[in-house]
Amino acid sequence: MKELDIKDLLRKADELRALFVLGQRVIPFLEELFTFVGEIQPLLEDINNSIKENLSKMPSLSKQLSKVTEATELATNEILDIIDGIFYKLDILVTNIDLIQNRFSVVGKFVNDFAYLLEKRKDEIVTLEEFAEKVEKLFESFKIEYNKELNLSTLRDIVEKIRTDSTSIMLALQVQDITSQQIAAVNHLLTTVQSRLNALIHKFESSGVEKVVSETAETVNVTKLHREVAFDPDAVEVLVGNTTKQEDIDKMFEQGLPPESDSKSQPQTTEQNLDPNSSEQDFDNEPISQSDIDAMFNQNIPNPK
Amino acid sequence: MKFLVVDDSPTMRRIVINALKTFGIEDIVEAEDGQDALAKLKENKIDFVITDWNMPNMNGLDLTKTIRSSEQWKNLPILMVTTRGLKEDIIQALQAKVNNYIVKPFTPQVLKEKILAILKTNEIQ
Repeated sequence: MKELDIKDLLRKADELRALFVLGQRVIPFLEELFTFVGEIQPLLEDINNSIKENLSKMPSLSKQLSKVTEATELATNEILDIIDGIFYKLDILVTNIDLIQNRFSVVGKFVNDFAYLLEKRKDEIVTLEEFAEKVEKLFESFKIEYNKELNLSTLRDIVEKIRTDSTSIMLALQVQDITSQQIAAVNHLLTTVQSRLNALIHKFESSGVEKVVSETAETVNVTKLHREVAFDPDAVEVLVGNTTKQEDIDKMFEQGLPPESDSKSQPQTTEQNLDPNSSEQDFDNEPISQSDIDAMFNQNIPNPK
Repeated sequence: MKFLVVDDSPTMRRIVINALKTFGIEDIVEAEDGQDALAKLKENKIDFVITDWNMPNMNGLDLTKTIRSSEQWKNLPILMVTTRGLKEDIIQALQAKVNNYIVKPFTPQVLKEKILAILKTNEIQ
């Protein structure tokens, strides 16, 4: 063999050895890679199943939320019917209390006059004296009855308290409107998430997940399941410290419209009204109270003429 | 006086109407959104409007703007009753020329105060 051939052979052998050395180093990595792929496969299947399960739940969840709104609304109206009845009965009760009080006054005066008459004549007729003694005792019981006016007044106070309680119930029932708006906002969010998730999954064209999407995806107009609900996504926030907030609104009305607001503010349309992200726009999101509103309106706007 | 109560929530309409009745106001017309309110305004001689903001089809703000742009109804008293309590909301209401503004939940007393205040202002003017 020529010297050049031997050198070439040795170089080839070195390259082959280097390849074997590399192979020895790569084999464990490949083994780990195969193990990883083996482990990730069930994980991917779990993710697939999870997506399938969540997608199948979403339309059901939206319907359930809507039913909550419907049920709350029905219950609220039932309570309102009761309140109507309470007000009606209270009016009758107050009228009757006035009548009873008036009749007690008349009877009381009659009894007092009769007692005075007997007192004057008791020395004239002995038998009448005995009679008068008995009658006086009877009068005492009458007087006790007469003095029940105080209890009637207490009864009237109780009636008034019931009326106040009824008013409080009416106030509390406004929560139904507020929570229904909140639920509508959640529903809208769920629909948005669902559609975005569907769009994401459709990208895995060769994964087989698209088959899951076609089986589970259901378009549900969640804002119209019970009745069409226009919502304020922050509606529930008004339940926190509303009294102070209302006072701030009143002050705002007294102070009037800020001059810079003319150019800054844009009128809100009905379409924006239905956008749950509308509060994320470039708005001054400072919550204010009723007194602030009153301050603004008293000084500025309430003159449409 | 004939009142128009505009709210998409039948519950809220009942609450407002119940409160009005306790004030002795019995002549009341209902509407479920801004468009319905405009139809009711054409059908009835309304003296006072109490409206929600968030409503489908036409919201309370657009209803107010439509009323104010009308020669026939431009002076009609409008009280807005809504869950929207942000400063920006109030400014929009002021710009739309709402007469007064109440944030839900409200007490019947507050409702009465605002109605009387609007009526008093209109009387003075």
